[in-house]
Amino acid sequence: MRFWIIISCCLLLGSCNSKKQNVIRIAVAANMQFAMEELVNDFEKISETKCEMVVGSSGKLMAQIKEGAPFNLFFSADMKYPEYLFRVDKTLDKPMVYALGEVVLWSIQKRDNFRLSDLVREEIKHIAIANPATAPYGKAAQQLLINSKMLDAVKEKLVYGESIGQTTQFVYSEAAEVGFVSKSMILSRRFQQKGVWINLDKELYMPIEQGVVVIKGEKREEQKASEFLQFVQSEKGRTILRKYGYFNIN
Amino acid sequence: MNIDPLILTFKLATVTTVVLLLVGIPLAYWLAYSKSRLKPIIETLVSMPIVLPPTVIGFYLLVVFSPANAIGSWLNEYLGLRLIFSFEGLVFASVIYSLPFMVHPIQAGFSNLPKGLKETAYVMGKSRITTLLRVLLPNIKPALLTGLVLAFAHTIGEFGVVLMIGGNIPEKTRVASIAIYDQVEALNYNVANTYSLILFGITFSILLVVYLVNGGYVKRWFR
Repeated sequence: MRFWIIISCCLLLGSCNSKKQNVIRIAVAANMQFAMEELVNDFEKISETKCEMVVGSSGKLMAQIKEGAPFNLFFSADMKYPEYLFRVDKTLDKPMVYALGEVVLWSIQKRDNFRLSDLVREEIKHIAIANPATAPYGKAAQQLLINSKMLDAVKEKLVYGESIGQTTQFVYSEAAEVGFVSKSMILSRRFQQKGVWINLDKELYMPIEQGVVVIKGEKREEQKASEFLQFVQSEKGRTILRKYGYFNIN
Repeated sequence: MNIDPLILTFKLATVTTVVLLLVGIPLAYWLAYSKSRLKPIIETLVSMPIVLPPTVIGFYLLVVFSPANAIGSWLNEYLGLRLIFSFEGLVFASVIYSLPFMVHPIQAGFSNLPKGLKETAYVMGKSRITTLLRVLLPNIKPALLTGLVLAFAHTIGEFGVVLMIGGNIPEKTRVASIAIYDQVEALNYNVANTYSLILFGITFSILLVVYLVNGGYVKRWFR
């Protein structure tokens, strides 16, 4: 008797699962989360497919995908991680650049005539930056400090967030007076009216090439994932990306 | 490979354990002998770090000690203390985080002593302090050792709190657990493996020593 109960429970669970056919799971780098929410919302209006987002740092998401996590799409914050997945044969195609991201300098306290050289001033005790070893935005910010010959002067003030998300949080909680964060976060509704931010000279750092890949899986899911990717690259999708401060790529 | 994170980890664990010993003994003494009505509440508070996710502690410390907050700015202005992104901050957080691991064994040690011991000392005219230092503490050495080692080991194993308030600064707040996390993210599995093996070996030896000593194996060895 007990045997049959267990079997019927399994069947029941199985049938529930098969109802969720139209869902794709998207792994999203932290800096993209707000833009992705809007992309997903608009996509779901015109498509039967439902999208589930999982937000994390690119490195962590990549490690999960490599170990077989059930994602269908991976929007990374750089090209390195998607390329790695492509090399180990986890992806349908070569990675594609879907956006170029920018770094901005952000402070919650209002500052008059805020500029990069303010970093050396004494009232700024801590500068938040994403970890250059693991986060693409941290690497770009470090490059910028090196190229502007400021790194040595401010080295002692740097505090490292494990992702651009934590870096943003350090500034937002005012634990650090200023920080290098992604423009897309600052332009999101969540942070739009908060504090002051400035653009940084793009001569001083390389804007961040962000790559996307479709992860190998069931044929139907792969197809749905490709549909979503096409939507991201359509004029509508690009308009959303522009709105969040990514500049265009062709 | 850089060994700074390992050194920093052991420095943090040592400082934390010393502070905890100074804080833990009076607290455990009070908890063991007090009949105050506040006792259950204090006992609960002391035990909370076992149950709460370290991220909760980290999050609240971050908010409270942020210079934007009243307490944070007061500490900064009057005592020159910045408890976020600093070694002192990590010590403070670790003391809270490992408190139950020091207090519980000592408290249990005090409670398990025969009542007569303390009373005899009082009858013979010894003061409370002398009784504590010369009579009670020497009789709960195994409990003290357990408390010391658990607090030390637990601080080595700390991750969530440090991640929240440390800021990952080399030689200041980048402890081994954080360095391992970083190396895994950066795909340097070899380095992560080396750090991990070292930590594994050291913590294994520390705990083994405690079980050997407290289990009486060492005494039997020397007999």
